[in-house]
Amino acid sequence: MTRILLVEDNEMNRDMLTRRLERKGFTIEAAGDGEEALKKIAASQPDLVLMDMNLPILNGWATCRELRANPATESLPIIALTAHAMAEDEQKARAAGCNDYTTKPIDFPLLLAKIDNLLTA
Amino acid sequence: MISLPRLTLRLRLSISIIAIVALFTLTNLTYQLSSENRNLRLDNLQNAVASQLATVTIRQLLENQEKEILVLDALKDGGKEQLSKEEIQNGRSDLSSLQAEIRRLKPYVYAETVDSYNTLLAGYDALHDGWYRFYVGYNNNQTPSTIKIERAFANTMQLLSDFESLEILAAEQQTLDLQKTVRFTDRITLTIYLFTIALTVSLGYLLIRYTNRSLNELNLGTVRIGGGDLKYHIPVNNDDEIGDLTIAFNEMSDKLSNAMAQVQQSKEKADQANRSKTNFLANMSHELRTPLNAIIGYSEMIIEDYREEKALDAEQAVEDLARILSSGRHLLQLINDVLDLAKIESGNMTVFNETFDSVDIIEELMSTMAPIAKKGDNLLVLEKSQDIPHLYNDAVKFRQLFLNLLSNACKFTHNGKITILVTYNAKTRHAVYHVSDTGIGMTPSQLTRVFEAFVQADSSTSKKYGGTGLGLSICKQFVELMDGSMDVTSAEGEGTTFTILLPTRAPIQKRTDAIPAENQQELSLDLKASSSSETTSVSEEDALGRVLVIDDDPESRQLLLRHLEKENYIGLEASDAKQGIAIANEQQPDLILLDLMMPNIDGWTALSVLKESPSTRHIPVILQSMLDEKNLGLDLGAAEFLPKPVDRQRMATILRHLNPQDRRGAALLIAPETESRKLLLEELTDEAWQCMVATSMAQVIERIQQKSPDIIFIGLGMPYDSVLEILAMLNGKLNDGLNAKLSDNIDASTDSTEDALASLATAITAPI
Repeated sequence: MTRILLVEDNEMNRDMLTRRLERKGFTIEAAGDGEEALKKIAASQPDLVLMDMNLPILNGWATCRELRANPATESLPIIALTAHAMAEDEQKARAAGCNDYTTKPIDFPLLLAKIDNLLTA
Repeated sequence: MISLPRLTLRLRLSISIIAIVALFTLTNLTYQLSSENRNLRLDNLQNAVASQLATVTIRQLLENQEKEILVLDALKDGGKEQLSKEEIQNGRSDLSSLQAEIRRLKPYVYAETVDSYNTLLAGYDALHDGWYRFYVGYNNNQTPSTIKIERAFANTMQLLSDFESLEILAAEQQTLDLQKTVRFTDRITLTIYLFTIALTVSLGYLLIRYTNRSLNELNLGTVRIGGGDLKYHIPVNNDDEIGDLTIAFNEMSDKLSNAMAQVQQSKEKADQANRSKTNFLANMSHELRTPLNAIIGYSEMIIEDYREEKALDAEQAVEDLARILSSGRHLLQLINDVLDLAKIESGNMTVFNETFDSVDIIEELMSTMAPIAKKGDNLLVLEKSQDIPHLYNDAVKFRQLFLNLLSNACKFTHNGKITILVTYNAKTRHAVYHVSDTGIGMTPSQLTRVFEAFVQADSSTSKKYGGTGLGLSICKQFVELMDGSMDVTSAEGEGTTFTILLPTRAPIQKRTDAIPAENQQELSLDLKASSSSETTSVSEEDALGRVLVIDDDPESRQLLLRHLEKENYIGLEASDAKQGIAIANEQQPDLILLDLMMPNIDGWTALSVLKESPSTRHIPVILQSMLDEKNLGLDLGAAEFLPKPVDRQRMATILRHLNPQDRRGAALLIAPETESRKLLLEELTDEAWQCMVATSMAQVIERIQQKSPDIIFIGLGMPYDSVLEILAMLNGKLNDGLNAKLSDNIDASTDSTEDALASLATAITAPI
């Protein structure tokens, strides 16, 4: 059973993605901000992280950098989910340590493919 | 003082050429002199030689003659008696030729030898005389004594020798003198010649060096300026053509530098605008994607549910559809807001002015917001001072503005209090609205950006509290369109207060906007009163308006005031900007005439103060200056520009054109003293109408005689009979040339008052 941590502060988006991913057989744990995400990753060590970038308290980029700085999570697969759709936004996300990047509104089959791709790699 | 001429390059060259030519001429002259001397010397030598030859010949001739005489004398003594006639003749002619020969010496005689020559002549004459008599008396034996002749001969020979040696001496002396002169002139010639060469060479060198240096500097400068150093100034060392060229070049580089600076500035502005636009687009994209994410996600999920399970969990589906709906609405709001902003930015947002009771609208909005306030456990309170005049402004924008502020206040406040405080500043004729909450507040840095588009205090705020981040930006722009001002104060954790000032007077430029067409059909008679503009004394009632003159010069101030009086305006005066601003605030004149050149605070500063202050910005300012500064003035908010010295005719035209009162006239209210009459009176006064009130037939007649009204309102509160009576009387007056609009729909109810005000609006548009 693949465990995914969904970091998303928008309640609606969190609810929607959680439900859709659960239907595809993933076990979803959700966090509303960067700090909560770091705590949950340390506690439950998920297989993959879906990370919104505009987060309160600790934003997505900073959270990614912290994860990459920690040996325990330096190779944890992270997919950035963001409504920032400019080319430099992808650069920025990858520079912060994200393995992949997808823009909102989310193309769900594409997201599934990206998840699959990262998990089998 | 003799002013030296400018030492131009041309002058330098001319002077050099003149000097060289002069020296060359001098050289030639001295050379000429020396060669003349040389010739003289040569002549002299020839002279001396000729003279020598002549004397030798003479000596020879003399000696021959002497021998002949001696021979003849010896023959006579020897017995030869007679000389033939021919022999005598020959002897005499020999004597004559000898005499001629001696006289031929004359041209060779020098000044120094003239005495000697004369003596020689005299000596010879004596000899000649002796010899002549010898020949004449030879045949008669009457010859003079030969001893005597011998003596004369010896004397003559001696004299000839003397003359000869003197001649040689004189010739030698003269030659020596000439030689000296020749040597002297030769030296002079050489000196001048050498000097000329030296001068030519040095002048040439100096000119080349000078021109070269100047041109080099110029060249260096052009290279530097050409290389982009536009600030570089080529040093101006010479007051000549090259100096002129340098100055012209520097000016050119200055202009170029200015132009470049301007280009740079506009480029920066354009870049800034471009960045803002890109930013705006990026933000837009982000803001649109967030609700779209929910809409698409939930829709897909519902479709999946239905396809895969062929049935829907109705409750779950409704919940999801509600989310889709809410996101869709949010999206719509966002698009509307963006369109509003774009409209404002492109200047296409129009303002539809009408008269409305702002407190009414706020009360209505409060009841709309009540459920939302309750949801956040907020208390919604309205506090107002006694009388808030109606506004003549855009009611729709007013509603949107306060809806936005109230919903913001509710959004950011929980378990607190939201207060709307409305007051009226009679001095500045502004309604003041404070919308305060006890919510989360803002930090100082958030506060500075609160009116920027897409900026919410924190990027996470929108997720928590919703909203497009455009509301306050739109609010601020609306208030500015409505001729008001908006400010905010806030403390983090304590709450936020928005303060809005709106004028209760009509915003001057927007007055003619949008008059509801249906109101044109009022019960009103439209006729024109005969003009009564011939009044000379200006009373408050008859005046066309009040004009404030701000000028430090008492004379021009007095002149303007006299002009104003003649044009039927009431003049107010201020001798400096500070006083002027104070009077403008206190007295609210209809127009301001502002002098630009004043000590301490100048006209420009005064203009910006007047235009920035909410209480004076609506007053049209006419600038006055000797210089033509019209465009700058108009850019800075002045309404017109009047060049000094002031032309009265022109001033009058401008005043007529700008005077807000001029388009209004006198209004007569025939109504009993009721609340609605008071309200209308206030409105009319606010709208700058000159109001008269009458409650009876007698008063109506009296008022009409005082001043013919442009509009007459007849309140329904009047007894029906007296209304008929008054109307009959007015009809009579109208036939006599009275020209007015009649409006009879004043009622005690507020609705009717609004109608009356609407008809007032009709009165404004109709050409009175």
